[in-house]
Amino acid sequence: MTIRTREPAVLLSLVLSAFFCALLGAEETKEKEKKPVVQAVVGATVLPVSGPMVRRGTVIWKDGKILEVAAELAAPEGARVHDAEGLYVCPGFVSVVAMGVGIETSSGNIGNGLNPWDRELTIALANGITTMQVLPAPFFGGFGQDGPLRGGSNSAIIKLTQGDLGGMLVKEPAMNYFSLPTRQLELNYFLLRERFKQAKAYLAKRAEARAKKATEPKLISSLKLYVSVLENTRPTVFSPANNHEVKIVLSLSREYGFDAVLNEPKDAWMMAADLAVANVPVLVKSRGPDFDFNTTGPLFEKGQMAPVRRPAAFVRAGCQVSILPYRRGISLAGLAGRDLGTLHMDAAFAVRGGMSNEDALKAITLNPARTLRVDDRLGSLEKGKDADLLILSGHPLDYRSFVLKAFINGKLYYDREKSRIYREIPLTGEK
Amino acid sequence: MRLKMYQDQDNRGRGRARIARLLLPVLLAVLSPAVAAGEEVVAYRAGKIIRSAGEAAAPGILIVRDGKIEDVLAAGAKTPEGAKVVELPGAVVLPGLVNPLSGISQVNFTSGPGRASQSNSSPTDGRKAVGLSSLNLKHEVYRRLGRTGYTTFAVVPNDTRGLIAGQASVIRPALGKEKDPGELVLEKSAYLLLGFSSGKAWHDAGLRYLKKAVDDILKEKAAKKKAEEDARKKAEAAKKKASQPSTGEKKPAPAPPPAKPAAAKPPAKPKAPDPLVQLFKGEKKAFVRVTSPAALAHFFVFFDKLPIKFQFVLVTGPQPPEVVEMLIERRKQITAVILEPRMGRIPETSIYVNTARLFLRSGMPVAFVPLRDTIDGHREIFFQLAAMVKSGVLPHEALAGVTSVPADIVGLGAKVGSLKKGGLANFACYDRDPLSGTARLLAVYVEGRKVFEDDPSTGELSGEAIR
Repeated sequence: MTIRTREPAVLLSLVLSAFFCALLGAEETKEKEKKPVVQAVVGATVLPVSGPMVRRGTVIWKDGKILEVAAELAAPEGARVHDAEGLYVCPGFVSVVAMGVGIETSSGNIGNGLNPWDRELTIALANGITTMQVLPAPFFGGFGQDGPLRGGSNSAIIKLTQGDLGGMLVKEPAMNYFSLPTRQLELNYFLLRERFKQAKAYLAKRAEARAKKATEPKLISSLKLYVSVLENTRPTVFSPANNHEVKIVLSLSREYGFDAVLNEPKDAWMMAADLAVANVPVLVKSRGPDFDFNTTGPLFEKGQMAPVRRPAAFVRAGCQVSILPYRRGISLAGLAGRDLGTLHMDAAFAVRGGMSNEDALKAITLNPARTLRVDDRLGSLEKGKDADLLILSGHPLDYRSFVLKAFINGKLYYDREKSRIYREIPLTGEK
Repeated sequence: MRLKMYQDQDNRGRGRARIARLLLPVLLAVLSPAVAAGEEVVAYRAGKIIRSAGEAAAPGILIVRDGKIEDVLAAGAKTPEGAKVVELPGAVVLPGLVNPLSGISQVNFTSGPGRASQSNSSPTDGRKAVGLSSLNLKHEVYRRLGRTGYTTFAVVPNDTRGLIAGQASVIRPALGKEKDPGELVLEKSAYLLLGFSSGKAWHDAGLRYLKKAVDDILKEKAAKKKAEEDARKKAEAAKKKASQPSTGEKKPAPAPPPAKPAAAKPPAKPKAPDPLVQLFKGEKKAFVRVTSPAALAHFFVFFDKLPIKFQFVLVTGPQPPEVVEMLIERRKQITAVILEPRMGRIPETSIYVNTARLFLRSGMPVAFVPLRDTIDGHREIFFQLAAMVKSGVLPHEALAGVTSVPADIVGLGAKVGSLKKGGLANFACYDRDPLSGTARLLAVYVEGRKVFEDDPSTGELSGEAIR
């Protein structure tokens, strides 16, 4: 803007007024951009997961962190209030595993290949998933080998901040994936033990070298994964095919003191008590095929347990259960309700198998967050945690419920009113 | 196939006769006597002249002296003394079109180099490659360039899909008599083409090349500052010493023996300046090609971390509206956008969105490049632009997108892209509004020389020069 005038008085007044306008304007923009706005959801039925349900509850957050969760609390002065009378509020769902969502390219690592505009990411977010551990591809690592990415990172924990790359990456790599041997078992189990011994010896040597500030000993590539498991900076996932393998994993974990996670242990419900004592979390599906298409025989026979009952069996024994989606990706071509989009339905299905509502909700929020070691930030509505929360039209496990708003880091990333996803479906009671 | 028609200097008489025969009464040539040798002045009396995009088309006379535009006169004005007059009564005369990013010069020109917004392949460093070096004049394509209505091409080197793809040279179409590719060149190094994709390899290469160039500049600056500081201190110390009263007569120190003349070294060749360093010093223009939305996000995360920023022209494909919004917020860094004239789609829907329109409404200059980087791709440009106009781009914006905007962004706005005094006499004649689907390209002039004329009697498609 240019002002041209020759009258000094006019000029002065113009300058003064411009100055004050600028002051006011600056303050306004500052408030808009810099000053974190306090936001609050008021009047909702709050399911904090870490505690009992709060009726007519209020959740207040600021700067991406939760300030308060309490009943009948008035929103603070100047807060941006979301009226949720008759609605439900719960933490954003955490999918303990997802595949190919939010990734454009995974050569090298995931962090540099994320795609905040991935449409699958948008769909997952519209279904209430705010955080996921994402894998670039199915894990096909051979026995004792490093992961599919050459950089050694198999997975990353990402938040589904749609269109915003800055807030996406939480942690990379997230987990070790350890493939157990499938053939030449006598030899390979021997090798397994030997390599763990060697890795331990290596770590001792390395610690010694570091103490002396000498050059670190060289690490041979076949020991890389073992060393990484023993360092225990991240949990290690095993996919045991039978209970014998579960026992091997438990003994290794006990002997070397690393955190193991069991992915889809088939018959491990039989030894759920052991798993609970060893504090080994399990990742299970509540739905599963009745038949194994490889053997064409029934997958569970007399004395075995149907998939729907397995999560509840683990919970009864005191295990930390995370529910896996039926499929790990978003499928736009297959049958509805058989992918990451219906994670909450998978949890609801586990209720049918004998779980309580609270445990089922925990199995898609707090438990996966614990398993991924991000429960200090995510998984429940507590003071100081990240403001990742959902406003739903009904109970999160109700099949008729829709996510109305999804907040991540305190910011609104999904709004059903404005989004293109699910807007065309009327809510229950709506016409 | 006849190629001789481009050598119109040789058989001007025959050419004129043909025009008179075939395009009557469209073209009528009147030869005026006594034109000074080498000082040929031609007056093109046209039905309509569009001097530059955005200006109204009006009847007028284009005065060309020596391949340059001397003046654009109103229709009734008197032509200069001794000027040859060429009548173009039904023609719409446009500035010759400008392509700001083309790979059409590539040596291995077989199936066409592809699209401007092709994805980048691997993060290589080709900063030394210059578009000029990949010209191969034996190839037919350079003579055909003129048949498209385009008269200026910024050509990039062979492999254009690296992190640093190389420097673009600006060329004109060949007339068929050139011996050396250098004769075509208007500007040897117009800009540096960079690319970026998502992925660790690109990020690391960015650190390796771009970040390193910045660090080198900063280091150099710091060293210079330090040297200056040292010199200043030295001078101060010397001053102090000089001001101190001297005690007793001191013999002046014997002069140091004259330094041996160093063995006569041949003067070192001046090192060609690193274009990347020039870029960060603001001495070179940059085009950055980033295609996918994710790659854009990663590029800006990387770009924001660079201690020295640069302004650039963004080359990209159709983007969803939210991505366009993000780009418009970067108006300070992005000086213009190069797009293909095609529609984008809103994700998860079948709703089409005109990315170019979104950019133009926010005040961002948009240059268009043909959908395919081939001769027929260039020939069809106005069909493609008409589709853009149908979905919200204004006609003058579409025209500017192939004339003045690309000319400005390659830095040749004074020479090409519009018909102004002192500019090159590059122009194309259509028989009606070029954006109408039925417009025929009648003739193309490059620096006052005719490189193409249409022959309606053959019944061939407009622009086909097969007779």
